[in-house]
Amino acid sequence: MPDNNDSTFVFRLQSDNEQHDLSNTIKHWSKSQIYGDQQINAIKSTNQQSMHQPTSIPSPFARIALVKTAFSEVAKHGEQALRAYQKIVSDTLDVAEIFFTLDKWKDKVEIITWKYGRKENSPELEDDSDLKKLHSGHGQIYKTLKTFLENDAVAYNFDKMKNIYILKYKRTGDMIGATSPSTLFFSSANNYNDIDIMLNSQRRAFEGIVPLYQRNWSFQKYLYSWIAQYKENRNVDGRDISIFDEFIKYLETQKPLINRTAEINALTSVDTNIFIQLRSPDVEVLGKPLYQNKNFGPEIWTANDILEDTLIRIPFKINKNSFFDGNMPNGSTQTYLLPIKEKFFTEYTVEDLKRFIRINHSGDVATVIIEIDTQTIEKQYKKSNNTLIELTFDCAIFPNVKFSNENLANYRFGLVCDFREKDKFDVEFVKINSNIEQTMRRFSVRNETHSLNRQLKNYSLEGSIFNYIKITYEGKSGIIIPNIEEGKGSSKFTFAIDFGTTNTHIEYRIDNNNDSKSFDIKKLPIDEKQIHYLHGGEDLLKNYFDEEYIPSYTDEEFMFPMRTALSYGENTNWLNVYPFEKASLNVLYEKRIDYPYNKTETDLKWSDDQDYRNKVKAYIESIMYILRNKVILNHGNLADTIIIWFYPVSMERRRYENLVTVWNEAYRKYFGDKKSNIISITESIAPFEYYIKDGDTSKLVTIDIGGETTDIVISINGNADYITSFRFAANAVFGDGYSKNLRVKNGIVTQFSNQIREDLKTVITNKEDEIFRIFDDMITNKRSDDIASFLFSLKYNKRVRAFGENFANNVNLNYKLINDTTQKITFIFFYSAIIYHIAKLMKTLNTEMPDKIVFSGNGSRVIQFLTTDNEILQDYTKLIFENVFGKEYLNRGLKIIPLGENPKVATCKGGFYLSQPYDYESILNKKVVLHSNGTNQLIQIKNPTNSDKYITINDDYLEKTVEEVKEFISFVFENLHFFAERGYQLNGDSIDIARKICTQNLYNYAKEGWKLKRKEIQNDEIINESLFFYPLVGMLKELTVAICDNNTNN
Amino acid sequence: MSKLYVFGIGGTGARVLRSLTMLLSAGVECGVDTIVPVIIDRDISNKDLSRTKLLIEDYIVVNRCVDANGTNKFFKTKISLLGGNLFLQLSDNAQQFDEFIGRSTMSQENNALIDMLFSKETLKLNMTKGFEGNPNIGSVVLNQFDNNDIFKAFANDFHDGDKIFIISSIFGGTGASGFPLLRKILHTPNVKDAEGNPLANWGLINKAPIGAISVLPYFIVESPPKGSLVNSDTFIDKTKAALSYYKNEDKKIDTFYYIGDTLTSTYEHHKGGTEQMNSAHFVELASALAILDFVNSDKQNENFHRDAHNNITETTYKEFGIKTNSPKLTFDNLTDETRNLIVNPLSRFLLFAKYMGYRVVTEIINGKETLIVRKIPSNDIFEKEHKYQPYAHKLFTEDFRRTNSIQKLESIQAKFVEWLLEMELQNRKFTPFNLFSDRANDFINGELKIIKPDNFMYKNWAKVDNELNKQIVKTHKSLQNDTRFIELFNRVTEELINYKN
Repeated sequence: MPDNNDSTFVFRLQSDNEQHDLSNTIKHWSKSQIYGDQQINAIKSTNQQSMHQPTSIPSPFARIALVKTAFSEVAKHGEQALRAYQKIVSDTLDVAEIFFTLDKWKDKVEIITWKYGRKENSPELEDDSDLKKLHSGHGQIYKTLKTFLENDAVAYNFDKMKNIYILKYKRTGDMIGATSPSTLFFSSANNYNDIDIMLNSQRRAFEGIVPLYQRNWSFQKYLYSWIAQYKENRNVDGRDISIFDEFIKYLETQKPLINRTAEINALTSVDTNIFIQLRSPDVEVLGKPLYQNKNFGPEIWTANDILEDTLIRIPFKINKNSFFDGNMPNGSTQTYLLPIKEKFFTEYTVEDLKRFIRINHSGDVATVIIEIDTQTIEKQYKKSNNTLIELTFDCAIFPNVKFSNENLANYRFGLVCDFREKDKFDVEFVKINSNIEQTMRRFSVRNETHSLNRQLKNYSLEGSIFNYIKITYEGKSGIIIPNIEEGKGSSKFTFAIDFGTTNTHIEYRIDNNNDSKSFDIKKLPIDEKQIHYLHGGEDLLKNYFDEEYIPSYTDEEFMFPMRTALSYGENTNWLNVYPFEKASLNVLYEKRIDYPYNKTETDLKWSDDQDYRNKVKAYIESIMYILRNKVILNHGNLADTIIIWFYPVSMERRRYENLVTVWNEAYRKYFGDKKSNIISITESIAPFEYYIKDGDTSKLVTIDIGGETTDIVISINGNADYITSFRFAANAVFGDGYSKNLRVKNGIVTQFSNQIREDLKTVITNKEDEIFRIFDDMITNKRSDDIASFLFSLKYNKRVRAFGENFANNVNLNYKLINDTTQKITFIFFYSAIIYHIAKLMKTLNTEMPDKIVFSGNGSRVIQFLTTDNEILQDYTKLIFENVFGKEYLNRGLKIIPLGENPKVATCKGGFYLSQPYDYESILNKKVVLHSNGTNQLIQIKNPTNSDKYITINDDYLEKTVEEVKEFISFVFENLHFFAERGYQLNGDSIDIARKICTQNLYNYAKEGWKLKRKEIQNDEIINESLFFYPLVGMLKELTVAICDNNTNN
Repeated sequence: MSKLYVFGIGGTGARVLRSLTMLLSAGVECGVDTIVPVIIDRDISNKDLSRTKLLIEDYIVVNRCVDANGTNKFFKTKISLLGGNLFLQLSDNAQQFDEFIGRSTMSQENNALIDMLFSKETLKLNMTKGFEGNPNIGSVVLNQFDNNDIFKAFANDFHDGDKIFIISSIFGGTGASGFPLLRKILHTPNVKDAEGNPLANWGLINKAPIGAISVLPYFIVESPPKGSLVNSDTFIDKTKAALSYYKNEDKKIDTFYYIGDTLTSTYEHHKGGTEQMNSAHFVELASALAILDFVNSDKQNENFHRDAHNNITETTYKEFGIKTNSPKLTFDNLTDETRNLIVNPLSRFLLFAKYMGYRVVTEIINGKETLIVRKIPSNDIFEKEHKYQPYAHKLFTEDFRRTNSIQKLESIQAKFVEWLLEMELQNRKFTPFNLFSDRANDFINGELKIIKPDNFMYKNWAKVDNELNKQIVKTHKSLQNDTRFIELFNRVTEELINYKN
C-alpha cells in the first residue's frame, strides 16, 4: 500500500495544539529540525504543580543551566510554568536580593570567591587557581569541570567569567546562592527555607514563590538599570543574542506587572546615588560590577533595622490617654519608650506603628513585636543583659493639640530628671521624612545650678509640627508618641483679660453667649488639659511641670483671678525670652513655694525695670499661649478669637503703647493676623459698660479700684461722660508707701501676718511645713502688698483648706481685717479720700450728685474692711457728697452696689458688653483731672496751657496740694462722729495716733510721689492724674505702721 | 570493513541495543559490517543490561556460524565486543558521590562551588544503582572513559571510516549524563589516559562521523517510594531542560535523532538494580532503526554535511513518523520505508521461531493469567518433522539441536518472541503478529499480505516442510550443519514470505 496521505504521525512530545513548526509529514526517519526554544516550548509539562526540580542536565554545571532554563520557562509561561521553575526563579531572585542587601547580612553570610577567570576576549586563563587546586587528588571532578567550562563556554558565558561568588550561611555552613555567568545569580538545589534571613517583610529568604513584580521597587529598579547598563550581545551563527537572554526575557515579562513601564524604560544605568558597588570582594558577573542598596526597604528589614538595641522603661504606668502605650497588655504598670528607629518611618507612619506594634512584658523581660504587613519583627529585651534599662524621669507635652496651620504650631516638651542625670538626656522633636529647622527649635532650663532640685529640660518647637518625640539617654533612644488631636472647629471665643497690678483675671465666652465664665481648664465635658504627662506617676516630678508650665486643671489652687506674677529661671536673658521657657506666668504664686532657682516678679504692670517690656511680653504671651490652646481644644477657630484687654486711664501713653505692641504681637503670633480681633479698653469703661448693660440709671459713678489704680467713670446721661483715674488703690493701704527698702513693712501686714502665723501653728505642727516656708520667704523677701495678697489668699490655700474650710475662712487677712478695730481708721481715710475726690471733681464739673455708685476691681475689697454694712457705707458716702456739694440728697437716695464674690468680673464682663469702641483718643477726650493746688480747676486736656502740664508742678503746687490734703484729713476727723453714732467701733488709740501723725510728713510724701511720677513723664505732658493722692500714699503707710506698733507695744 | 561503534548509555541504551540485536538477528539490513556495542552504565546489576548482554553474547555465537558470504540474512551483521567486553566498567569503589570526588580534602572554595552545583542529596547519593535521575553527577562520574580499558581498546581499534553512534535517554539518570559528556570527550583533542599516554587514533575519533539518538520520554514510572530520587512527574520537564542544554550540541553531531511518545506506559518503579527490567517498546525498535538509518549508505548525503576540513557544517535532525496513529500498531500503520526494512525480516524470523516451537501461551502463574513464551511440544514442528522430512535427514538430527550455536539460536528465537510480546503489551502496542497462532500462514495482524499466494497443494506447516525440502538442495554442502541450517531457513522463509510494496 503506497502512502497516499502526506500527513503522518510523528513520535514526538510536542502537542500539535502548540506552535512548533515541525514537519507533520515525517516518514520513517527523515529530516526534521533542531528542537529549539519554540519546539521545546511546545512540549507541555505533565505536572505543572510539581515542585520536583528537573535534574536532567548532564553537566556538572547543571544547576546554572537549570536556572537559565527556569528563567526562560517562567518568562514564557509565567504562572503556568512548572512550579519548580517558578521556585527556582524566586530563590534566585532571593539570592540576588541577599547580594543587593549584603551589608545587612554581614553577620550571617560570607562570600567565598571561586576563581576561574578568563583573560578578556581570550581563551587563556587569567586566574583559575581554584580549579587548579582540584587537579591533584580530585582529578575526576577537575577534568569534568574543565571539560564543561571549555566545551560549554559560549552557552553559559564561561569564556567571559572571572569568578563565581558564593554566599555561605555562617551558622550552618551551607552555600545558599551564588553569582552565575548566565543569569547573574543562581540558587542552590537544596531546600533552605529555614535560613534566618528576613529578606523582606513577607518572608524569609527561600520561602515560597515571589515573582519579581511582587518585590520592592528599589530591587526591581536595580535589576532593570543593571541590565540596561551591562547588557551585552554575543554573535552566534550570525545572530546577535544577549548573553543574559533568559534573564532579560524574564525581566521583560515582569515589566507590565510592575506597572512602572515608562519609569523602567527610562533607566539607562545603575544609579550610584542609590546603589553602591559591592566591595571586598568586588562582586561581579563577567567582570561587570554588582551593587547593593544604600537603603533597605521594609521587606528586608530585620529587628536591628527598626528596633533599638536597648529598651527604656519607667516604673510608672503610662498615661495612656495622652501617650501611645505600645499596645501593652491591659493593666501594665510601666512605661516603655518605643524602641523604634527612624528607619521605620521611612516607609510607615505613626498610625501604622500604632497598628503594628505590641509590647509584651513579664518581670524584667520585654518583647517588642512589630507586625509589618505579613512580616513579624520581634526583639526581646532583658534587664539581665542590660538591653532593658529602667530610668526614673517624667515628660510632659504642652499642649497636645494639632495645629492645622503649621506656622502657628507651638509646643513645649519638658523632661524632668535628676539634676545629676541632666546631661545624659536629650530630646528631639521628629517630623517624619523632614528636617525641622534649627531656628524652629529651642532648648532651655530654668534650673542651671541647683543640684538638689530636678531639672526640667524644656524643648520648644515653634512653627513646625512633629510626629513623635525621641528621647535619648546616654546614646540609647526610644520614642514617645503623644495622642495629638486636631482641634478643628468654628466656635468663636472671646477673652477679656484684666491684666491688673496685683491680680489678673480672664473671662471668656463662646459664640456670643450671654454667659461668660472665668478661664478654666476642665476635665468635662471635653478634657481640655494642656499638660500631658507621660506617666505623671510621681508628684515630685509633676510639681516641676506645675511650676514651669501650668497644672493640668484649674482648681481652688490654680484659678482666676490669680496673682499677676511672672516667674523666671536662672540667667534669664530678657532680650530673648519666650513663654514657658525661661519665664512664664506663675499661676501658683503664693500657693506653693517656688523652687529656689525660680524668681518671681509681681510688679509687672508699673515696673520701671529696663527689662520691663520683655517681662510683660513673657507674661502676656504666657497667657496667650494657654488661651489659644483652650480655643483649639474646644474646637474654636483661632483666627476668629477676640481678645479684649484693659488698661487704666491713668497709664501714660508710652506705657500704654508698649502694652499695645506687646498684646498685638502676641495676638499675631498665637492667633493670627486679624488686628481688629485684639481690642484694648480702659479699665474704667469696662465695669461701667457692664453695669449700664445691667439696665441702669442716669447718674452713675463706677469706681474700679485695682491694686495700683482707681478708675472712675461718671455718667450723667447714660453715657460714659467723664473718666478719671489715679494711682491710689489697694496698695495704698497694704503697700510700702514710698519706702525704698523692704525693712519697714506695712503695719497691717506686719500686725496680721504674725497673728495668722500663730493661728496656723495651732493646727500645722510641723514647723518645716511648706506653708511656713512660703510664709517666711514672703516676709523676708517680698513687698508688703505681695504679702498682703498672700495673706488674703490663705482662704483659698490648698494646704490651709486641708485643715478644714472653717479654719481657712478664719485664718486669713480678710477675716482678720473685718473683725479688727485697730486699723479701721486707715480704711476710713482710704475710702473717704476716693469719694471726697470724686465729689470735688463732680462739683467742679457741675454735675448733679450720683444716684448710684458701683465698685469693682479687686481693690474694692478693701471697702469691706471699712464696713460690711452697706447702709452705713451708703450713708457715709452720702455724707461726703452732701458736705462737698453743700446740699442734701433730698428724697433721692444714694445706692451703693455691693461687691460680688469676684470684683474683677465686672471689668472683664464689661469688655463683652462694649457698646462702642473706645480708643485711647476718645477716652482721652472724656478724661477729667482736677488740680490739687487749691484752685479746684479742671486740667484742660483739649486746649491745655502750661498750667495744665507737668511743667507747672513745683514746690508751691505741692505745698498747695498738701493743704488740700490737710483739709481732707480735717474733714475726716470732723465726721468721725458719724461712725460712733452708728454704733461702729473705732479704736480710740488708733484715732489718737492718727490725729498725731496724719499731717506730719505730708509734704515729704507729696515730693516722693512726684519724684516717682517724674520718671515716667515729660514736662510737656498734660497732667494725667490728680496729685491729691500723693501725700496720702505715704501717710497711710505711716499710719498702719504706727497703729501696728501701738498694738504690738501693748 | 567498516564498523559502527554504538555507545548505549543507561537502561534505554541497553534496550535499544536489544532491539537492534533483534533486528540484526532477523536480518534487517545494516550499512556496516560490524557493530561494536558498548554499554555504559554504572548500574551493572540492571536487568535491562544483563538481558541485552546475554542476547548479544548469544548473537555473537550464532553470528560466528553464519555464512558471511552467502545469501543468508539472519545474524548477518557482525557484532563484536571491545576486548570481549560489552560494558564500559567504571572502576571506583566509592559508594557516595561526595566520596567519589574526594570532597573531604577539597579547599574551602572548591567545597563551596560543589555545594552550589550539587544538592546535598546527590552528594550523599549511593551510586551503586546508578545516578537515580541525576545526570549532573553522572557527567562527573562517567567521565573516566579515557582511563578505561574498553575505551583504550576503542581507540586502538578505531579505523578511518568507522562511525560512532550514541544512544541515550534524555530524562533518566545515567543515559542522560553520558551522551553530552561522551560526545565532549570524543571531540576533545589529545585525550590522554591517566598515565598521560595519548590515546591511539584520537585524531580519527575527533573527526569521525557521529550520530546520536536522544530518546525522549515514552514511559513513566509509578509514584516513587520515599527515598528515591527518580520521579517521573518531572520527566517531561527534565526533558525540556535537557533539550535546552542539547541545543549546545548543534554542529557537533552529524545526525541527531529525536524520538518520544506521549502515549506512555507506566512501569513499576525501580531505582535500578536487578529489579529494573522494562519491557520492550516500539520506540526502542524505531530507535534501533535510527542506528541503521545512520549507517545506511543511501542516506549518506542526507546524514552528513562536512566541509573540506571535515568539520560539521550542519547537523541533520531526524524524527520518526508512521503513517497513521493508533494505540495498537500493526505493519499497516507504518510508512513504506519502515515496512520495506522490517516486515520481511521480522516475519521470516518469526516463522523460523514458530517452526522451532516458540509461541505465546497463557499460563496461570501465581494464580494470575500470564502471557508467556514457551516452546510448545505440540507446536515444535522441527521436533515432530525432522525425523521424517528429507531436509533434515542425517543433517539435523536430535544431537544437532543440542549444538551450542543452535541452542543459542533457539534462545534468541525465544527472546525474539518475548520481545515481540513485550511490545504488544505496552500501552502503545506494536502488534504486527498474532503470537498465539500455531499456524504457519496466518500470523500477520492487519491487512498486509506477506505470504505469497501460491501453491495450493500444501497447507500450513506442510508448506514449510515442503519448502525446506525444496531448498536444502540449494544450500552449500560444504557448510557446517548449523550454518547450513540457518542458511536453509533463510532461503525457505524468503521463499514463503516476501512482502513488497
